[in-house]
Amino acid sequence: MNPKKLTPYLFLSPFFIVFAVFMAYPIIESFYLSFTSAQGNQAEWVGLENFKNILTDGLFWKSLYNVFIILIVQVPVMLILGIFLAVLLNSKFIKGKGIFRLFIFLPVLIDLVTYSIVFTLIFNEQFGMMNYVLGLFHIDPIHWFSDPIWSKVLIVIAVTWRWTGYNTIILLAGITTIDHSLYESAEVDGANKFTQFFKITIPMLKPILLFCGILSTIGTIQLFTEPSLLTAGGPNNATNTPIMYLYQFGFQSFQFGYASASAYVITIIVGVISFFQIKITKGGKI
Amino acid sequence: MKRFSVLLSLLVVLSIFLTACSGGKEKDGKASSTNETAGSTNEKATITVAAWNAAADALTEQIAGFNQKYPNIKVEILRADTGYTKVTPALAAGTGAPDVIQTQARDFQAFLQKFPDQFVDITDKTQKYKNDFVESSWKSVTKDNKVYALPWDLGPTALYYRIDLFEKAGIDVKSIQTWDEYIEAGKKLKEAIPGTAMTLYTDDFNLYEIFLNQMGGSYVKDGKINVNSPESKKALLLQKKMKDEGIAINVHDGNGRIPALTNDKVASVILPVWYAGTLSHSVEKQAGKWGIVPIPAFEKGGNTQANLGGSILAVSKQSKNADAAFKFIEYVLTTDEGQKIMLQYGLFPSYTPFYKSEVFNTEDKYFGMELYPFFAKLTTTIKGMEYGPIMLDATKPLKDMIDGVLTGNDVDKTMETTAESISKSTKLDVNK
Repeated sequence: MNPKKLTPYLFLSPFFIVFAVFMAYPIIESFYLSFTSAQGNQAEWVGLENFKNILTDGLFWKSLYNVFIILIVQVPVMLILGIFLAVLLNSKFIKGKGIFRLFIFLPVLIDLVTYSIVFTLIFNEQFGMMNYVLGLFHIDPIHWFSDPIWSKVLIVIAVTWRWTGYNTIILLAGITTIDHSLYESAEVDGANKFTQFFKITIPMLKPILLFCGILSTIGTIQLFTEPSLLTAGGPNNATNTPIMYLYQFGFQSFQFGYASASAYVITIIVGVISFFQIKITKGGKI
Repeated sequence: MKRFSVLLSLLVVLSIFLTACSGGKEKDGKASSTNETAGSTNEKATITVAAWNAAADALTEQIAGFNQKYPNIKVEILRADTGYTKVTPALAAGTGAPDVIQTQARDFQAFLQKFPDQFVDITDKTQKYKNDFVESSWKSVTKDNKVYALPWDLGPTALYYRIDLFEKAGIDVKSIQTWDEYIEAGKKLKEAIPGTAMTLYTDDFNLYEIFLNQMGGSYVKDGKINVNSPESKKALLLQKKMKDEGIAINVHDGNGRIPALTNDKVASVILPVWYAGTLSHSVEKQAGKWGIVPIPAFEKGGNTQANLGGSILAVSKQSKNADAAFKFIEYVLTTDEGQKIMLQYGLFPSYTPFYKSEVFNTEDKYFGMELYPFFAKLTTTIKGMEYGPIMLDATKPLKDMIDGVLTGNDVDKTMETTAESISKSTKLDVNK
């Protein structure tokens, strides 16, 4: 055996060890657990019972329904806002771009817990700033936390506030890679800015948009911190999410088997959705 | 050749991984073998105690006094959270658990069920304290006539009310004997002081549990799920009535209570003894404005006592110094010195000999009364509640039940689905 040939694998081995211990092992172990009644420190093989119970649990379907409603509204709003901001940031007439970029990206750097707590204060139904400001325009106070629809709106606002900047920066990177000669020739042909935006910028951004879309979709289905801290899944489970469902069984009831099974169900759902997203957009080919 | 080297390196990786695993197992073996040789007091020992918030603060302050008595036992406090996330992985893994573990009294039976053989049987050591603790508090630490923990604090519940606001609305607190009269007074208050509600509630089942315990109801009866009982229905309907009549506002959580109280939005709260401490710390400016009376009864002359909350201290079977660990909980829970510090942190003792001590009987400046003797009188007819081993599984379904009923869902149907959902995850039958 030539030691020279072994060297690269030795250099790679730290990754493989870490991957085996912290990724592969949990994935396999939780797959096994999902077929057991694992609870506390006891476990028994129960076959598909966990999966049967999850798929017949109304609460699980409700949590899925919630994230899909949030998803359908939030992801398009965020991506449109993101493109808009990215184009603005890329335009020639804006000065001090660095500062604007920083401010737009800043929310991503703020700790999830901190911003959730700030949002609970701003949107507080009785004393919050938001309802006060709305009151100045003679709008009745909104029940951000106790109305099933407005609580979803609140989650959408919070998530959009935090993640728009992240997507803007990625889209901005995409815009800067678009060949400038395309715009020049379009201008020579007499296309105005709007036509340029819809006929050049958007089509050229397709792969990036797909990337942002899939990441945001996965992120929204895995929504946890915001609903958990802002609304605690309430009112009456109107903002409960699949991951909160999983968390409750895994870490509040310590039903590890059931929680593992729901993790696999969620993973399969995410996989299927991503598959269709890629299929429908033809892999983001321009 | 290339393929061979890939295979070989994979084998190397695998063997490193496996030795890492087996190394862990060896340690496991050692830990369990030393379990048997519990350290005596003369030997040097270090114990870890997991507790949360004020309870952890109180225990930290206990260390100095404890070390005067047992200089060789070193105590370390592990700050845990009320969700037990630091403790349960260690209990599930069978290694790495702290020596002493705090749980809520109502959760402990569920711990005994989900983690059997993880808590030390202390029946013999606690026999002599049988009459020293409030009787109802033994229920949650006993399983099959064996004691697995010492009861810590109790949560006798009272009605805290704003003397000034009641006066302004012309309400005589003595005239409120029943919950119906309380609701009527609430309506009067709302008219007299617009924007101020009689009371508040949070997104949990605290108020429900107070009502349920007051009536002598329970979550589990004869080993069967009992959340669909007539008492449960009565408790739910009372909270719903308070909400529908507009005399109770939802402040969502403990953090929501403070601004509501500070801004005079609420004239009274139905909460246990531990809220006295929060009031005097968080709404300092309202000193002297608060009075405390027993909670109203369901019918005239009925029970006016209820318990909410309270925790326990148990010794983990994984402890290498189980004796030292028990000495610690014995010191903090069954001596006047220990309970004195607990009281400073607002932890009301279930250890009754302490009720005779001087500290217990001093006047509270914020309330202008002997606070603790008052609450001690509210522990005499508290009904022992059967939580059963369901509370870790039932928390979410119970919250949903209350949420559902308050938003107008049918009470009987909601109770039924709640019972079934708890039954599904606990495998216990539902009481018909």
